[in-house]
Amino acid sequence: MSEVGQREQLVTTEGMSQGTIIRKKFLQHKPAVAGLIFMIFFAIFVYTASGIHLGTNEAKFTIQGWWKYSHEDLLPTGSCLSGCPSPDHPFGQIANGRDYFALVMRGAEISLMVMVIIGSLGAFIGTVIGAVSGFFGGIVDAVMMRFTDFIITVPSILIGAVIGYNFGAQGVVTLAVFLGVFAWTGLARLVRGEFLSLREREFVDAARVAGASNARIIFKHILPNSVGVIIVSTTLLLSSSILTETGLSFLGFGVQAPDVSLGLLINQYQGDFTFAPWLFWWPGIIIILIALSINFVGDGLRDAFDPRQRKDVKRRKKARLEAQQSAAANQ
Amino acid sequence: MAAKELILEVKDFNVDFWVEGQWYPAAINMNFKLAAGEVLAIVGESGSGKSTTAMGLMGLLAENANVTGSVKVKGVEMLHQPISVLRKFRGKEVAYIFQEPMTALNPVYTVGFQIVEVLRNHFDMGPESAKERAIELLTLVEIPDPALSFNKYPHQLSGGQRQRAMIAQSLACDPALLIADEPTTALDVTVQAEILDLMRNLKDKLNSAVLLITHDMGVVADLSDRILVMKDGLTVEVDTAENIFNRPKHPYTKSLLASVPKLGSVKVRKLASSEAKAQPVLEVKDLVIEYPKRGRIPAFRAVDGVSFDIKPGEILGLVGESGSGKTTVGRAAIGLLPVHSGSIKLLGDEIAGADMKKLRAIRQHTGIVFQDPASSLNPRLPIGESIGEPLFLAKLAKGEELNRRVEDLLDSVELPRSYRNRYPHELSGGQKQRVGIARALAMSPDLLIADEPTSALDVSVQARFLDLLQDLQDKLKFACLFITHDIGVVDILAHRIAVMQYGKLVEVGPRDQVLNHPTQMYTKTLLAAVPVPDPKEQKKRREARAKLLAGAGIKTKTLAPASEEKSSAPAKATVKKAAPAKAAVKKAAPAKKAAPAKPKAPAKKAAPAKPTTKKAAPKKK
Repeated sequence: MSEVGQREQLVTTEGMSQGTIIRKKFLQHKPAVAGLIFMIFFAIFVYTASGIHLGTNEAKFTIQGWWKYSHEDLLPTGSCLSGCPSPDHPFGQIANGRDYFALVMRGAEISLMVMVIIGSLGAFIGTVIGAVSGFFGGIVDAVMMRFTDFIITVPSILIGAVIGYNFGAQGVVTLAVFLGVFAWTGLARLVRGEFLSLREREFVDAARVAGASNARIIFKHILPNSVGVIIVSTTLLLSSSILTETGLSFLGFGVQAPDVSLGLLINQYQGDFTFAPWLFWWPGIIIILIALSINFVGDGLRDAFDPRQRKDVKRRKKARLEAQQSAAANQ
Repeated sequence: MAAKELILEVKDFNVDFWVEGQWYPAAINMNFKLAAGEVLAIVGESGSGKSTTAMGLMGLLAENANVTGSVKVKGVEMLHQPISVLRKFRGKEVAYIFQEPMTALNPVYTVGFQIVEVLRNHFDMGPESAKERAIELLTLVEIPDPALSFNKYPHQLSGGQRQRAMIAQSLACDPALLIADEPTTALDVTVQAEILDLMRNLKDKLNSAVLLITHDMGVVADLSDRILVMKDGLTVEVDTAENIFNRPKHPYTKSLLASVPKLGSVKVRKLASSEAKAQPVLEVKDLVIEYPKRGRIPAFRAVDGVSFDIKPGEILGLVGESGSGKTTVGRAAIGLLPVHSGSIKLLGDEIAGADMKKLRAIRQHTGIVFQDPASSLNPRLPIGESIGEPLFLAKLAKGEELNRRVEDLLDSVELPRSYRNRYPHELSGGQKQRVGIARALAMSPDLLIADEPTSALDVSVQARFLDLLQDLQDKLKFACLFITHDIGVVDILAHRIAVMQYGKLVEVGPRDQVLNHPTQMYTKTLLAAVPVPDPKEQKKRREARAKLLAGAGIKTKTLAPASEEKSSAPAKATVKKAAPAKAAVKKAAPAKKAAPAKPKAPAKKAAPAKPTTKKAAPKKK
């Protein structure tokens, strides 16, 4: 080892920053990369299929997608009474003749949008509030955490209902933004806890001695160390946002007909499971795929940030080979 | 010897760990025997497999371990036995003393309850008689006021007392074999000396066999009859203590012995006269630091009226036991703690009360090496970035230039350049500490503060580390405040030594004067408690220490609570006796006396709650 060390000492090694190493490690994580690619292609697929529909009924902005039917078209039902899949309607049709593929695509579009908005808003606000509160402590912490407690005590479904009632007509984006603004509490708590313990570590003092500002200590030194917690709870937040949206829609406050979302589709057609199972399966499978790929990406991010997770296959193989060779030499 | 009962017999003992599809041997072909009343010490550096061996004897290893060979306790095979058989032996015939008494005792139960639990598990005993026996045991291990301590929780005891309680628990069933895994590593030297005394007495009283596991050659010299030296899982040498210390055969044993710092073995390091006259780099005057009041815990004065200075190119060793305030002084000197009163001047600039901007400017002239290398490097930052950060933030270097400087720094601490992209956990303890130095030296500071940089390192690693530090100091001529509890280390490095106790400076002087002719009683007891890696010499020192303590009117027993708890009335009494001069000074300054005296008693109660009081500090900023 020491010989190797000396040999290496003469060679100048290119310094890699934290960011470079994390990017490299993330790209080595195959499921995560697969998940990310799937997400990107799926989003493109969905959005181009159903087109973009923004705004309310009065001022509508629409770009038609490549799929021949819109989710609002009422079509004649085919030969199959239960609306089973056919070449013309690959996902089948529902009772009033709408094309189920168009519905699912539109639902996925809405669900993805809700998820991304709630997830990113919640994660961002939660991380910032938790980080500031945990890092500065004292009165800042007390005030921010009491505020968090206050938000927690108000049931989210109630908030959603009030928002949905008042702003539901302005489209699903407004609703998602408002929900995101209230979705950060759990994350803030967790991040604060992490920061409380991490700020006592000596490397924080070391950074301070090195001349780092508070912002640099928070974002460069402590935040990467609490990334595990942030990612895990953000993934949970993303999946729970689908449920929140479904619940609200079911109560009539969220996505409203003729618009659809994946959760709403499942909810509506689970009763038809016995005779038209595809009505349940298509949105179900898509939700599972989205959730899975989010989890994979989250996993990959967490591992990339965690220095102990060396998914460095080449290096491990090399080490094993060396061990075998030395064992052979000893014998 | 032959007449004594054979307690432990280990034959062809092997431990392998299954890690990532490969077997890694941790202990290879161990063979040893242990008779009643005998002490066998297993010595080795961290990672040599000594603890693994001790755990493996009683089947306490994780599931990925494969243990082969034979281990017999009193003639009964222990390996691969059903758990029901083992449980009869664990605690009753074989008892463990663990390294860290705080984690080995359950914090939610009283000490007494935990001893009673062991007793009632193994004997048919009523709660009353078990309690009686437990108090008897606590008396045996010389815990002050055993009946009261019975109802105390672990956090209410000091480190030494906790270790005593732990020993009492392990002695509950008169074990034939006592396995002590680094029993004194977490303790101060004076407390360590007491625990060693205690263990020696108990061993004679109970006639138990003791398997002592330690890395400290001084402890080994103090206690053991025979020694087994381990390296990388292999037995290097087994012999009597006398032979190992006086006639070591194996080169590894020799090098291990050579790397133990010995008091008085190094020549005096002298400052150039021009440096001695120069303006001091660091000037501390009447420094007082208080941890502020938190709820019902009153303010705690950690440093009380400390004054000293450091000349350019000088190394000042700051020595003291845990809780003496030495680390607090070091952290204040770099502006990490708010100063209550007094002044700290670095190159003429006042640190006390300086704002962030000024502090940042002052800190460019200082560097600090922290105690725990595992915690002082950001685990998510490659070490190259950690080292380069001070340069980057001071806008002294960027891009290619920064790259080169980082490489130079890695070269100067003798680490391969390719390590720069590694994360801290991929480095050994010694290497991490080198990174710590490289980072501290990045700004070519005038003052380096080293806060117990070697306390987490093995002796041989420590020796190399001290060599490196000395070389760098010779080359770069920075002044250094070296904080440590290990007098042996100070002896190697320091030009001058300052001794602290209870937040006060007890003695400052040139190295030789403090080590050879200490004037203060506390310095004398501290020096006497340091174990020396030589059984004969250690025996002499032990007797001298007993005499010293007796001469000062302190029995070992009364000293125990004094040095451990630092709070109760007898503690104060001994301090006064030990340092009459200081007591006189106290009386002479009645104006100041009232204020510091009051918070003292409750403040020390807060000692176990140290981490929480520490938390309060940064808040103030």
